[in-house]
Amino acid sequence: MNRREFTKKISSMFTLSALGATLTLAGDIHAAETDPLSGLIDVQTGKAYKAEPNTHRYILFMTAQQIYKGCDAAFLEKETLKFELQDKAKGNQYLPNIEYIMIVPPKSALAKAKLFDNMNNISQAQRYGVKVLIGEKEHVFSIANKYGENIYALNSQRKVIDHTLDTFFTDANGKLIMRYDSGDGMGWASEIDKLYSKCESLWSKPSFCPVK
Amino acid sequence: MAEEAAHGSGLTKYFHYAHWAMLAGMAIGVTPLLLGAGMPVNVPNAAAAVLDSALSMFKGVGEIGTFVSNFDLSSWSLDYEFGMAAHDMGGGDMSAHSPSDEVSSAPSHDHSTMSTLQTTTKPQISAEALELLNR
Repeated sequence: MNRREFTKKISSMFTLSALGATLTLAGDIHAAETDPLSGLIDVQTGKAYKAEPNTHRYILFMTAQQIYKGCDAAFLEKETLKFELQDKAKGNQYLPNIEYIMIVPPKSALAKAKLFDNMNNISQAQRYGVKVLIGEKEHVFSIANKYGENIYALNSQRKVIDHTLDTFFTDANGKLIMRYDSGDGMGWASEIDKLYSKCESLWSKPSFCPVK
Repeated sequence: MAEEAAHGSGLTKYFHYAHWAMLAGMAIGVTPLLLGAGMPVNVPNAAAAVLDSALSMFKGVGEIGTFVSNFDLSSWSLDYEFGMAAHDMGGGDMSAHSPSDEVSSAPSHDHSTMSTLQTTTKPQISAEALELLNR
């Protein structure tokens, strides 16, 4: 190899590595910008929500006010999920960190806001170690829409008259892994069995699978 | 050529993986049987264990503990409508959940069969968040 060839090779290597670094950085910035929960406010601190690194999320879309008796059943179900994951992780030597989150719209988003002079869902969420996040009404609806359909039931004025108790289990980037009705604790076991069975796949392992 | 012979072709590799997957599956399936009947291998047992552990966690924890320890049907709210009536002091109608509203097809949770763990704990809400909440 002569001097000219050597210089050419070195410069092409630098170009490639610089391109790679740029793409990685761009990817990181893009991931940070596109966190579906960005722009929400932590109710307890009043500060913008910041995702915990390497932490999966258990997300509920509810209201701060307890519209119905039994809304709080969803908070108990996080223990079921934890139990099932722990049970499975014994074999896999791996358990994902999970952050528990409830997202709520402002009171004015409720169809009959005057009737619900309480913050019961917030008190219960905090009691169970669930972080409460709030955003503007349309912002909350748009986040909910990113995760699935019919999470909030709206009337013709786009006001909330009901919500599901569905839980959205996501990876650390907020990407949905599983949507599940948290009112049905029996089903977690089989759903998590299905999730872990994917760890055997050679092509598309869920993010919480052990790295071999 | 020699390397291919040592490690196998693409197809051989596939059977190699399948072989190990089959062995792992058998091990997972047989282990509970070998360990005896004490393991919660079926869903009802697992669910019962979950419920039991969840309830026992709350024994002695304030009002929830009282609720769990003194489990009493009379403490359950019988009907959502009765609860609503108590709140309906301002002359508001009860049509919030009536068929007259254009409700989307969101699956409503079964409110009538769930209990409520009442709390008197004050929520921790920052001034900024409270302003947004009441907006």
